[in-house]
Amino acid sequence: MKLKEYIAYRLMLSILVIFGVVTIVFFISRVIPSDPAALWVGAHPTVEAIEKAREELHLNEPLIKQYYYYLVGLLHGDLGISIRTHNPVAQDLKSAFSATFELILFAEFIAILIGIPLGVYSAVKKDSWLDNLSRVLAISGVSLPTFWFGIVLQLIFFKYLHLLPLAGRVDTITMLEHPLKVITGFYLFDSLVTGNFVVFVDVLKHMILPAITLAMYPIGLITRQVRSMMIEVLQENYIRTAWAYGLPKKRIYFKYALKNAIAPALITIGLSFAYTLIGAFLVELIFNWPGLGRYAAYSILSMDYPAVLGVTIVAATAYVFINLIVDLIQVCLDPRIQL
Amino acid sequence: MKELLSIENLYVNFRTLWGLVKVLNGVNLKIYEGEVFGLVGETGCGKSVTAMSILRLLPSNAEISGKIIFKGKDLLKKSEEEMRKIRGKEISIIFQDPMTSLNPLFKIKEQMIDIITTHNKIDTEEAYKKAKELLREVGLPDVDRILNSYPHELSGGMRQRVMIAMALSSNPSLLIADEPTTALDVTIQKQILDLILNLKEELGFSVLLITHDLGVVAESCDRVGVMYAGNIVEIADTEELFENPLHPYTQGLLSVIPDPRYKKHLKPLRGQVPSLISPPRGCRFNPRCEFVRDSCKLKKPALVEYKESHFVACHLYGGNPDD
Repeated sequence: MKLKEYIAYRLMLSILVIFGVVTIVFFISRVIPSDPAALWVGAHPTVEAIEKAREELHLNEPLIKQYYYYLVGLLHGDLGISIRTHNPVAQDLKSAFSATFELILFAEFIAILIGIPLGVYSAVKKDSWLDNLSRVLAISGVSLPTFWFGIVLQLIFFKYLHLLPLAGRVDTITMLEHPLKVITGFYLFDSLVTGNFVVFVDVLKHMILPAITLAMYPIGLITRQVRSMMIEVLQENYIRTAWAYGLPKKRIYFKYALKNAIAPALITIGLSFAYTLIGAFLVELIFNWPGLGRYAAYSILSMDYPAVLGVTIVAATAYVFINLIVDLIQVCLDPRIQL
Repeated sequence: MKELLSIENLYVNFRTLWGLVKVLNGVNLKIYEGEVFGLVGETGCGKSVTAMSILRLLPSNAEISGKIIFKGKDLLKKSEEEMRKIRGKEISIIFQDPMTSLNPLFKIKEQMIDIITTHNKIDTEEAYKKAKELLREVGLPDVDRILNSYPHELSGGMRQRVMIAMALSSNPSLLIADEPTTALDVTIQKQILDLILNLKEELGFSVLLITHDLGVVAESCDRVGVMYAGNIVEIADTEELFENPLHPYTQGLLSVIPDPRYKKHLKPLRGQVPSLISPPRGCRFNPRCEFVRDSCKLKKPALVEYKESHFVACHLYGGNPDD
């Protein structure tokens, strides 16, 4: 199979996966006993108003028909109207999506930057103090609750050290003084491209704590995965060959061994995107981050099912695509993989 | 003949969970310039450990003592960085299993160029030319295609040729060939062996050929050392060794080569290879030896020159005090 055909094939599969997710979440959210119509009309509803809302939202029609309406809307890019905010869900999601994905990408970037070298060195210096330290770090990263860790970071870096801001995505006053031209919605990227360095630094400062909080879990996973694979690979005959021919140590570890050891870690990185997305629910609440997680959390609490469905679709799509990218990277890394 | 490598009283122990494994028990041997020295013995007798000791590539749980004099300098006294510059440049090795000895994720050219540029001050382009030249020298056709292939796209024989080309890339003085033909088909075995011998004639390096195959020894070696349980028990010129084996173990080994001319029952060696955690006292061969005497169980026999250039470590032949 050629690469293009493979990508097309995977994209088709992705559509099936997303369709399945939509279907399941749609029916689950509708069978939960709640009355969206009552929520829709807000406080002090009249019977007539609720009846009218029921009509407008197609709530008095059979479930299967409602599902049909939803799918038709979905094909037109219409995710319905949020019951809580009364905005089109698609519009709400747009800004939340870029906020969250900027955060998640940054967190994963930190996780890769720390996790891979830490994994390599703990494998090379197996059972040394560095290995033990990284083991402690990895296990705490995987086991410490995110919300606890985030709050501790806030205490240390905001309350005691006054180094970093407490919460939010960007300082409002900074934004007013140096207006940011939004291109992609990824503030770091946008401010860098437009040369708005004041905002860039401010956004970066805001991002550090939530990103580290989110990165803890993937750091742990990646470190342990890279370590165990490196230990295995370093026993291989081809690594013995590299030593026997006098290649320098660093090149053996980071070129010849790491490339062989990285494949499972890549899968972990792909999967950990899903975790960070879930982790973002809590982290965004703690750090008041205007992202998908916070939006989803509020939506769930107010039984705002069009919004919940919207978040689910976005998350599932992102997840499917990230894993597709990971698979493609793997194909590029290992010439033996047949598509 | 000038001495190239001299191993003196080499002891290697491995610390393991089950105790200290005494793998090499005072190995002595010399390799001269331009010769092929064969090291034979059963699996686990310490042949490969001897080879890896020369390159100082033993695992970290190994304890090593003795002397390995290469070109007048003791390799065991060199720093890690000095050793790195010797590996692949002055002493090269080819391994038993060409299928797993090349990195599967890098093209042949990347691996070869890396080795060539590590030991020679030349740029990538020149290194590529050199790699092509080397591959032609080891008799590979279509060298550009091979350089742009991944290891899994080549056959075992081709990969072993690539390994040989890599090993010879910096004109080493000593080539260690650790069972270079064991993993290959019989027809390819012969080709690879001939290739090594021809290149040796051409380039003038010495070869330490490690094998358990006495046929390979007879065909290619100038001198042979026989190893048993971490000791060299006998060293002689190849012809002399086959015609006039002295050590009971060597005699045992030669008596189990089937000879199609005579229908005779092969006489296997009785007993089995001893545990190296608690090896027998004295001569390590004594529990299996037909001619065992009291002194064999007390003292380890030294390797002494019984006849001109024929060494044996056995109490039967004297040379040791109390014999």
